[in-house]
Amino acid sequence: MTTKRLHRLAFIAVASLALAACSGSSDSASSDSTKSTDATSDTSATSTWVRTYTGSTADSASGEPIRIGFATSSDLLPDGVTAADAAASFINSNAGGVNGRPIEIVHCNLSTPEAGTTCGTQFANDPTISIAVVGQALFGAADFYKAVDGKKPVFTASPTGADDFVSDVTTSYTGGALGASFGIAHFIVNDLAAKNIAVLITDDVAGRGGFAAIQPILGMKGAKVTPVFVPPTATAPQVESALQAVNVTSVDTLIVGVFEQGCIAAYDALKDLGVDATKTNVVAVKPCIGPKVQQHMKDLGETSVVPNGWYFNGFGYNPFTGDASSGFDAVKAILESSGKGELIYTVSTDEIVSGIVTMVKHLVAAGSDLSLATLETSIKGFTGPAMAIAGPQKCGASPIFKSICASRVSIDRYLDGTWSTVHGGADSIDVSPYLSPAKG
Amino acid sequence: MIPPLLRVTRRIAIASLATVIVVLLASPTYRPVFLGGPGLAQGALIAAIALGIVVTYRGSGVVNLSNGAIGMYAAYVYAELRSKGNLFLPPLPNPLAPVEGIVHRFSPSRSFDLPDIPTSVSFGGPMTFWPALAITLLVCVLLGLALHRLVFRPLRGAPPLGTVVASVGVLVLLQAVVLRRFSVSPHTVKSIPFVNKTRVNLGFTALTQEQAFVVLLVCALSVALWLLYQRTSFGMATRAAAENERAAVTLGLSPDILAAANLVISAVVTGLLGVFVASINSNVDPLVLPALVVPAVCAALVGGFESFAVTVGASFLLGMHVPVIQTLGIREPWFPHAGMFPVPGVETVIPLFVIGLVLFLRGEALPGRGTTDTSPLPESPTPGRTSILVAAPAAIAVTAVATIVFLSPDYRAALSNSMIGVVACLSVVVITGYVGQLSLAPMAFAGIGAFLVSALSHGLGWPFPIPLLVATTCAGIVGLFVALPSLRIRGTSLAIVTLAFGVSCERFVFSNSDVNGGLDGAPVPTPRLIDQSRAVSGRFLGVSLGDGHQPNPLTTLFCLALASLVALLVANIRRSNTGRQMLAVRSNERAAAAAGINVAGTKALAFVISATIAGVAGSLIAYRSGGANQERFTYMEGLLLFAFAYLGGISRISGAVAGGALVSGGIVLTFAQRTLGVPEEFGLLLGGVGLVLAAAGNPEGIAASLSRQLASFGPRILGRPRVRGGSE
Repeated sequence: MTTKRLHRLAFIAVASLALAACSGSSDSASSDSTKSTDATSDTSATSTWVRTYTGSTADSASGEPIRIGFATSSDLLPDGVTAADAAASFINSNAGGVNGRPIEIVHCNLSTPEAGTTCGTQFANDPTISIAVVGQALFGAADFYKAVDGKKPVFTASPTGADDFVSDVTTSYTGGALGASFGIAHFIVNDLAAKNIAVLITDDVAGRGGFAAIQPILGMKGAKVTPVFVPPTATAPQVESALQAVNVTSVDTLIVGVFEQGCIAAYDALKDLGVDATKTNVVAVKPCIGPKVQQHMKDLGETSVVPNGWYFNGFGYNPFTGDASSGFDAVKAILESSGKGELIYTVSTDEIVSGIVTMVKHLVAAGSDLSLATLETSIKGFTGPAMAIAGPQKCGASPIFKSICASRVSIDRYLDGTWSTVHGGADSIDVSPYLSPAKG
Repeated sequence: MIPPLLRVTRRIAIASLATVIVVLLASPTYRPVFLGGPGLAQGALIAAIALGIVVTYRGSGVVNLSNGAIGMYAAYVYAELRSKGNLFLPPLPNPLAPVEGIVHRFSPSRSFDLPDIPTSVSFGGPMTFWPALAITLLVCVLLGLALHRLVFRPLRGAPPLGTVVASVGVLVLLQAVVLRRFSVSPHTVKSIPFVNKTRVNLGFTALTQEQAFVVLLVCALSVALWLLYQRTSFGMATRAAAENERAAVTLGLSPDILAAANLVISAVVTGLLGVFVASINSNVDPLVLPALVVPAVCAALVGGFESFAVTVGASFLLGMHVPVIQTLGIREPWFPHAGMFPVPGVETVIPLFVIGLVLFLRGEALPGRGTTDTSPLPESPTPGRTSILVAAPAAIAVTAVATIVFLSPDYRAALSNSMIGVVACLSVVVITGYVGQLSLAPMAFAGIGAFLVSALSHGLGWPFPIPLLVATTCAGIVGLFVALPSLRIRGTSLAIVTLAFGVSCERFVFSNSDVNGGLDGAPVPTPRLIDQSRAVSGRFLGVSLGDGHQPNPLTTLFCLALASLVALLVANIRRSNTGRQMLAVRSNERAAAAAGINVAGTKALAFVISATIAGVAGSLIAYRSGGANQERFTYMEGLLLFAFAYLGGISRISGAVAGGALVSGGIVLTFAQRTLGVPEEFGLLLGGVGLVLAAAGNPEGIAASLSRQLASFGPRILGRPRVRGGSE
């Protein structure tokens, strides 16, 4: 092939790809959603709950929109975008928007480390954006917070990385993976009275930091605690070899603190190593009930929908059993209204819906004064309970994990086809002593 | 004749390896770990990629760094066929899209809708195992043929630089296609129907049926490949073409057809094993398999890129050592710790050590090939005095004025990213463009600079700019150590060493909490003047300066000033005697030595300069963002940077400027997104396509093409004859 031909081919290919992109053909993984025909939940009940929660009294939403900046790693976790859009759409159509004005989500993709600055700068410079919300940031969180600091009120719906927890720029109404770890540690020490504990956890800053934080709790009654670090993208052999290294058959309790893929790998590895979760306690974080885990169980021909005998954490409520009064059912209904009801099982989507609706609550309360000071005071002064999240909120209480306001973690167990709540709703575990080392 | 020192070292290495294996086998604690199913399965995964690499190298002389991505792609095809019965298609150019795009420009309703190219072909529901596997292997055959016809065939006879870049382009492209269709979250893969997870006790070890099957399959495939290449006329023809292409052509053999056939075999072998290994893993994602290319290349290197048996053996050892390292970290108090925990990433240092050792013992480890055609490296013109004294300062001044007066915040941020990219690309220009050394670890040196800046400024409280100066000097010193292998090796072998170095830095150094600061991070106190979160505005001589929005224009000016300084330094190096010596080494090391040039010294100096410049880029990143973050210094970021430097023009300063414009978050992608409305996720896709096509059709890069166009445009306008060659 001659150079000229290659040049021509290159030009045609690049130009056509670019134009194809401009023409907006909807072939992305995130946009091939089909409206679910069974999304017939009670819109009226959901609307009533949302109106009561947000305080909105308007009949409908029209006029100039109030804009919420929403930054998330949408290339990598497209479900977060769907969840945010579903919440905005529902509020505009069924809950009167913000005092009669619709809300508009301004999206920004935290796809690369550089994107943190780009998104933060975009939101900071845009006077029409009232609040900056972070969905789930896999890249660029620190740069994002630095860019918006002092310019916009910031809220993180699903804290994921270390920066989300220690930043004093943002606020979060769930404890994220860190809060979950504290709750799980408390449960293992106090309820299971474990003596020999292995902790399967991702080998990154958040994972190592998280383990360092929970190790004193796990060891406070003399239990032996062993970390099992695996790469965030660990394969089943890697997880299995790591579990083999700690002789997992000899421990009485295993914490599974990894992403959804790691949960699948852990399930396979435990099965391979002959660990029976009805005899050895396995306590897992929320991603382990995700749709891919459920699909894996089906593929293996298992009768259980999630790993049998495992305990799972939540922030008060369980998507399999639901809860009406806390708004958890409303979150589920909002996702169903967008034709994506199954996203209730996906990590962070419920937190994102809850977060957007709660930001609307603050915007409604602020009335016409949408200034930084007013909204920041409202967000940081919120005492809870937040939608679909148990317990009170107290922002700024932790000197280390400055963004975390939440304090409650629930535990449910799936055994032989039945869910049982160990600590749920009002009985959820209070992790606030652990967020503050002086007390904990 | 092997020198005595090397002979002794080789014996010591082999004896040490044998001793370690015997100790592990004798230990009741470590024997089950070493021989366990997880390690063997991981070894099979590495072998899957390594076998494909060896086959491709035998057939076409290309070290295909995208082989892991081919396995990943095949696994996705299989998984989608099994779960939905769909064969997904890559995003293809749609000839109707321009028509639709133009109509939409004038039609606000955007209701005009022409047919889109389908994103998948449906086979009517989930498929069973065998049909899905057959279609997947057919896709692998087509993929192998496409890679040969469109990528590697045009590069026959090209220098290793071109083929390495092309394979990186294929890696980026395949990842981009999968990310576009499936996002990064893992795709579940149904299990193989005829084996399951039941444990099989073999006496000396226990592993699942699935693991045993894949291990046996790898062994069977390696025997089959050995028979194919040793006992068949096809194999002998391939070997003949590999040893002497000219002689093979005179015998009537077609190296082209042989290369195509070998690439197809490679794609099928890798795809087949990729499918099986993904099945036993129960899932596949776009990151894991491509990243295993480093241990796979290491295994291929141990096998001399020829021996299937040695390659497979080395692959298994590289897989089996991972559980041993994990167990040592957990059980042995003497294992090095970072804070309370075992240091991360030791398993990535082992391949680096093995690669270094093998290359040290063997020298040029890749068997040479007699080819019918050799293309020279891209031209590296001397920057002219006019360019340095007039054109460059004028361009810098215009950019500076635009930054302060005209540029919107988006473009100020993009310009800062591009200027940092220019500095990083200049480090590649020095080492690869001027000296011809293929170094794939620029971001590792940048990371060293960034984390040292944090340690010195935040940890020790040193004031700006002392940490920047010390950190860049230290990065240069590390560069000197990395230069040591280059004294004995070059080309693709050096690319492999530096790639392994990049991976080790990412996992072993930057992931270490003693380095990255753990939850506290590695902050860098940025001087207030250049703090980018400041919104600056004012008036000077009646002209509005700054728009009152962040990012701070002075941050962009700081990046521009440092990029200009580094570019001036590189221009002066190129114009000096040192620069001429570098080019002489690049052209022919023996001839350069004969001319009295200290080849080793020149190479080492180039490594030091390149690493120092990369350290400047890392320091800039740290000061600009107020901290050092490991996510910016991954080996993948390094590969992408190298790719952009190549696209821009690897051997000229203007090429680094073009490369900087192309980097993530830079001017070009910002323009594409903000002005043309190209979705962000197309950036990776376009980058991959551009890289593959540039490697095959325009190895001199964008800057050289533009320069040629300008050179022919000027005389045409002025009616003067065109003058060839000369300066940049």
